[in-house]
Amino acid sequence: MSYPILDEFRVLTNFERGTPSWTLDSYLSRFGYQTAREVLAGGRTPEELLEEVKASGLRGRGGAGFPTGLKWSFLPENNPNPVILAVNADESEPGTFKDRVVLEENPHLLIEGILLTCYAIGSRTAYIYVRGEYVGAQKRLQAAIAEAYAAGHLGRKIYGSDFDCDVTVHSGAGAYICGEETGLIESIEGKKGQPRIKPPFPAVQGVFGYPTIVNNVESIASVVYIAAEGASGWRQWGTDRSPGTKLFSVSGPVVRPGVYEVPMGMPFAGFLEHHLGGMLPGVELKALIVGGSSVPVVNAETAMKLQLDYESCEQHGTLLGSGGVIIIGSGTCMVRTLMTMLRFYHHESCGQCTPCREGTGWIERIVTRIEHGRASRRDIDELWRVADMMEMRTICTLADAAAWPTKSFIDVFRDEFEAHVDQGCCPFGNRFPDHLKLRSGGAPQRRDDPEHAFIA
Amino acid sequence: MTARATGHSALEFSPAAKERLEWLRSRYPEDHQRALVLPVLSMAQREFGWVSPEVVRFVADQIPVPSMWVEEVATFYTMYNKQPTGRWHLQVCHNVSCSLMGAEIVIEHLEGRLGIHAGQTTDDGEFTLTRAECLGSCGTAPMLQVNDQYRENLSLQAVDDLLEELRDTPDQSPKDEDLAVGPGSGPGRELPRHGRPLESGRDVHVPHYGDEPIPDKVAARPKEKAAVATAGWFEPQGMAR
Repeated sequence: MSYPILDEFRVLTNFERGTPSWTLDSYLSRFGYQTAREVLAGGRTPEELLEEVKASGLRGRGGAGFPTGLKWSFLPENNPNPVILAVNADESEPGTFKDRVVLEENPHLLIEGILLTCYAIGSRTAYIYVRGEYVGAQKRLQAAIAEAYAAGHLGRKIYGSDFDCDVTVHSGAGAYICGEETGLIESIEGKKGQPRIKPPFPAVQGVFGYPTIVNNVESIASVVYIAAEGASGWRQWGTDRSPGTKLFSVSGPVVRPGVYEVPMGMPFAGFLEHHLGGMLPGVELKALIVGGSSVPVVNAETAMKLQLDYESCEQHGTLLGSGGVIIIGSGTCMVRTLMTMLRFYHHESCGQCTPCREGTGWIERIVTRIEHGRASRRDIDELWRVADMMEMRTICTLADAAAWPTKSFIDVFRDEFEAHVDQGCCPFGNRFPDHLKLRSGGAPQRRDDPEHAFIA
Repeated sequence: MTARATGHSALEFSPAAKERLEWLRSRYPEDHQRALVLPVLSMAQREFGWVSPEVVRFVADQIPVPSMWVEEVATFYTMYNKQPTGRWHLQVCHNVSCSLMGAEIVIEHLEGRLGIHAGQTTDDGEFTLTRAECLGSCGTAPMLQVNDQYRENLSLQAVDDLLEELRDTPDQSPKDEDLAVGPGSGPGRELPRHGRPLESGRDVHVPHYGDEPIPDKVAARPKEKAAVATAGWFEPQGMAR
């Protein structure tokens, strides 16, 4: 291997799989809450901590990759109102399940991150918006918060300082759009999760009208290491513009899918071979979606040239997104894959903006007709054109999230779309390949092997 | 069908739920109790099985907010069941990662085993089968959710075993921990208010909708009321310090 082994850069997943890593005892044994204690005892002023995060170059891990420190600095100066921290644990992007590992296995890291973030931005109230389906994660998180309150890591006058911090878990109820930051704010306020027009940005008017910072779970959890080791410590990994480590959640027909923490900039080819154990026997890599279903797809050839960082992904015509790596194996019908994805966006469109409300349904119907062979070549161009018309014309990026994969699927796999319309049926028989059989056939490395289920 | 299938009458929260409601109130600012709509609806669904129009009105009375506000939330979010479900609600993820690994085969298999289509409930009221969008368990696909629990890395054999297991398991009532009161004295109460404080009772700051009578007090002062409702949003300078 030409890069360091896994253990050297476990920052967010610094625990042993299979141990009760979610308990306070376990977290304390890993030097938990020491950073917060030192910082709150006067080790750093909030301004210094904010500068440190800025200097670290930490980019928001929710998908957009916006620099976290810069986002914090948008808070109005001399602001008389309370500041609210909203932690985005809505994680509903198909293919993404990385935050679940932090919530379920290392919830105290998130709480310490919240403490430090609240200190840096001058907040004392944090809401963690967890998607409603994550009942197990919510229970672990609630239990961890209760432990933290009881041990004095949360509440009033923490560690004898003047700093107060309160954390509340707010459960969602099954809406993808609530992962958009203003949709999330609406949902915390008890409304439909329809995104707001910006400006005003959340940093000026957010939850309950107060200045609000919305950050992803992984971003907040990364703050702990940056506060402990400084910007230079964080920058020892990754590339200049994408520093640090990142969680990647991998799904699809590979030997060891799961969540992996790797330094940014790792070549995908090595990641696939060494971490994921390669493809399942008999399956070849056909295509790769690197950052959750909303980003453009790339074919196997481009995938092998890809490095897992923001610049390399942009250079190859895709986006790093949330790090939800979806691997598509040979024998998979790309039209059907796109149809599955567009069904999701049609279902999840909140209905505010016409291009998205009507467009997501429209492109879903076209691609369904293509999949069933009831379309002409003109429909393929029509599909591309409608997707293009949806882009950049709506309040939030859900329409773009449906348009990007649509356009890229046509661009990269146009021959498959044409085969569907020319043959008048799906060449793959209207089915996904039966990878289930490969698994139950007793392949030597079973996916549910506890050692490898989550390498984390 | 089970008792859940009938409409709801004379609703009341259990003592544990009442206690949790009071705790929830303390977690949000006093003049933003609308934030309770989602958590209280979730709690009501746990208590009463599904969200009927009666449950919507009940939740609205508990917070209190106009029932329209609760109804729009109940219909926007997919996790609120607007119809009674069977004793076991099987939600099979059919999004891209699960489909790639065989979710459609699992759904077909379940449809055959249960003799229903996705979206239906079996005649004996035991199982409801639903297609669900990404449940965040893509690495262990295909998967399904049984009530609150995830079952991952499914094979067809595992699905058959699961059905057997569920048939033999007695009904699960809401567990205590689901209704537990959380820690902390509450940040919400200490956040400053916007505008002027709410009056008590059902006299909240927008007119009522639907089948409820419009209280005279609200109808008499619509302009003033509307100003309060939007204060937090459009008039930041109007915030109290």
